[in-house]
Amino acid sequence: MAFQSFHYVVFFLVIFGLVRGVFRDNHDAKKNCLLAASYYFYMCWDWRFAGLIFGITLINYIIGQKIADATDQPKKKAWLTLSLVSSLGILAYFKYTNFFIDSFNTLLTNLGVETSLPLLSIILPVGISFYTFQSISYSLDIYRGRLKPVSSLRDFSLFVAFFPQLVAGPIVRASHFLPQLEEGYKEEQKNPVESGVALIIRGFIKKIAIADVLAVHIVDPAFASPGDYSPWFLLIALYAYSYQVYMDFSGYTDIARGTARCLGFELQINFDRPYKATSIGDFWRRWHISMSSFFRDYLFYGLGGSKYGNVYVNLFITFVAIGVWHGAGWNFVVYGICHASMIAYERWRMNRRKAAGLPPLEYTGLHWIWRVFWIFTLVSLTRVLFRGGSLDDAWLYVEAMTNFTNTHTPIGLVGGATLLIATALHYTPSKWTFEWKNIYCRMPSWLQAGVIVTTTYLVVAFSTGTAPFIYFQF
Amino acid sequence: MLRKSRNTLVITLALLLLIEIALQVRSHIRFGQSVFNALANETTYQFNEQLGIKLLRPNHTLAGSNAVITTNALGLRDDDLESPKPENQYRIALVGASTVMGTYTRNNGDTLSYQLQDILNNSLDKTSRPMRVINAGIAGYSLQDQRKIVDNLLSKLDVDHYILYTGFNDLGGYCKPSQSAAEKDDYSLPTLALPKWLLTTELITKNTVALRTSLAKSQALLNPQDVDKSEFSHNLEALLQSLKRTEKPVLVIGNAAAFRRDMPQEQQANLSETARYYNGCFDTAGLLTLYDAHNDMIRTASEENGMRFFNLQSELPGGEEWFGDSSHFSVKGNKRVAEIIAAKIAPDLPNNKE
Repeated sequence: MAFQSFHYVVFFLVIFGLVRGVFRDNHDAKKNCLLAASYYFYMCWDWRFAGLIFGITLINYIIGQKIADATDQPKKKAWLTLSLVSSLGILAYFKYTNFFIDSFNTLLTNLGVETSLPLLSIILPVGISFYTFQSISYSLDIYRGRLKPVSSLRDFSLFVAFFPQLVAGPIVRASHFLPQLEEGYKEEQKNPVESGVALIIRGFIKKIAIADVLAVHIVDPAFASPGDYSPWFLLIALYAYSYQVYMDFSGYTDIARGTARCLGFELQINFDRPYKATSIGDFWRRWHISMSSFFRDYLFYGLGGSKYGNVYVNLFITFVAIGVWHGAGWNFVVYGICHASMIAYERWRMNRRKAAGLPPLEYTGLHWIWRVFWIFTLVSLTRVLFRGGSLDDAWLYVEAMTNFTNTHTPIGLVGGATLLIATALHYTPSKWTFEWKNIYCRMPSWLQAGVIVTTTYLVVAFSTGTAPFIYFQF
Repeated sequence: MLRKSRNTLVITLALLLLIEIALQVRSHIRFGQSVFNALANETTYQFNEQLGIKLLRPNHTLAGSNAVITTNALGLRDDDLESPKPENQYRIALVGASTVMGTYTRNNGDTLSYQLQDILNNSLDKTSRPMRVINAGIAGYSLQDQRKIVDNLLSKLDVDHYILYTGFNDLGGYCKPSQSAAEKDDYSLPTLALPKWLLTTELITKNTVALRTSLAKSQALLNPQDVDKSEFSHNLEALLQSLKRTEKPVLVIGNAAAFRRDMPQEQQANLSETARYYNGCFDTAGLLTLYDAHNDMIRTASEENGMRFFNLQSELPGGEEWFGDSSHFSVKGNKRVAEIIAAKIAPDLPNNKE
């Protein structure tokens, strides 16, 4: 059930009516309703995997309790290991089995062995990377003493399966979400429903009117047959893809956060204008924050961070894991290595400056503009690995970017204008975003209705009807 | 807090509803067709159980300010046919879909069949037998439907001559996944969809095709060379076999489109908008290749079945003067096409043979 479908609108309105109306004063009924709705939402994608999500939920619920009950550290560690092995094992089976088989076959071929193992017919359950990580964060937090186990299986199940963020995040921490399930929890927002709707409207505009348009007019044609276009078109397409993936994913996050807020829950911010970053490290602090902070807290720090062991090795392991989290392919491994290398270089430079007694670099004025553009360009160039289906595809694209004899640059009015709008929107002051929410909340009902109707018609006009959110594949 | 949100929701739903009602009223006034017809149990089309085909509501007038459709007792957009057939009358059935039925015609007198009949009876002045051209086109008809109307209805009307203009409806199937393939891997729960009769969505999507299509070629588009045309070929052969069994002369016409390769890109894009709306998996160039391939198939099959064929695409120029949209003729286009057909069919008419 896609957010941009008629079915979702009806589904959301029914759940909203039940949660905010019928079960307004019945806390248990509200949670039961949300849990049932979340499983129904997931089953609309593929009913067979409802058992899988429940299985992962049950494993981590039981193990979380066992970790808390364990009297000594080795036992706690053993239970945690079981949680990680079982949860990540399930994820690995669905996501990486064919990658390993394929890589093994390539190795055999290179060694001159003729036999090859057949690939398995495995369907990747939508959202598996998100809810698996969400589940294991619970066990990890209990193990580290940051969280007490939740007594209710229903509450824990709702935390794992909560439908607004189920299929593409943000990856919610148990310590952030579970307290919101307690009776008497006070909502953070003054106007939760109106500000939630404002977020949803913004998300739809980002997704349908910007991301999907960039895809249709620039990105998809460029990646479909890079050899047909000029290097300039291909370079613009990389920048356009950077905006597409940002608008797509942050649009999804806005809709997820807006939906959750309308239902009385607050999900964490996932993006902070990532293309305003002045370093690659800064970029990862602004991009997909719930995922990058997960890897930072549970893997990078777990490996020793910058205090124990070799920080550069820890960085490489973390970023390769981030790359592979996105997909099973060598292109994602190389993507991780590229980013790890750039961050390692930044850290090395920073350490040298520190050793020389120099202050950290600060960018202002034109220097800031140039720096932001440079980092945006570096990030966009590595996106060729992210968007291309394989290393070969990425290489074909890079090769075509050096063919200066081709001058075919078919950027039309719609594609060009959308790219400019995306750029302008991204670089507007952040406070304007918050201002939009306030403006919407202050509007009279009839004007709010006009905004919603206009957005609905925009969605109909721009929607290709075939473009799922990019991060659904992860 | 919640009261304001509830008010917003109510006003939103009311606005959406009001806009849809306004569009339905507009459609009713202009074309006499809207959802109100269904509410009054007066749908434009009816499924004829006896004949097993969809036809227009018999003996009915759909009157709008822009178009009036009058149907006969058979459910065709035509005057009543005399029964039994007058002794000297020469009946020609013009079989097809919406183009033959007369999209963009203001009244029955503007339709292709009527124009052709008029020319054959008056302008050519070469025949002594009165000519009666039957409008056997129903909007939305596929090749299978056209076969059924030949087998189940026209075969009983003592038709002397058939003209076939198939139209492009069967091409829409290429953009839809086959039923079996879709069902095979589908483990999702059933979901709600917007009703197809909503004019708001139709109006918006029809007029914003350019927003959703690129100047460059996209991977989402299909290569017309790669699509499986076997079903089209099979259905076409079945239709031609039905016509052959009538043992009457048949003139088969290749389909014409408003957009042509020799036009500037922008003009091609504008003229192909409705075609791309109905066949969203092809771009303009792809559609032209697809049309050519299908016209070739129609020509080959016609010749193999001993039927006369000519390609209207090479006889009628493209452009807005002759076409109301990507494939339907304008009123002027109908007249021109009628003249072309009359000239082509004239040598086969009884008087000329004599």
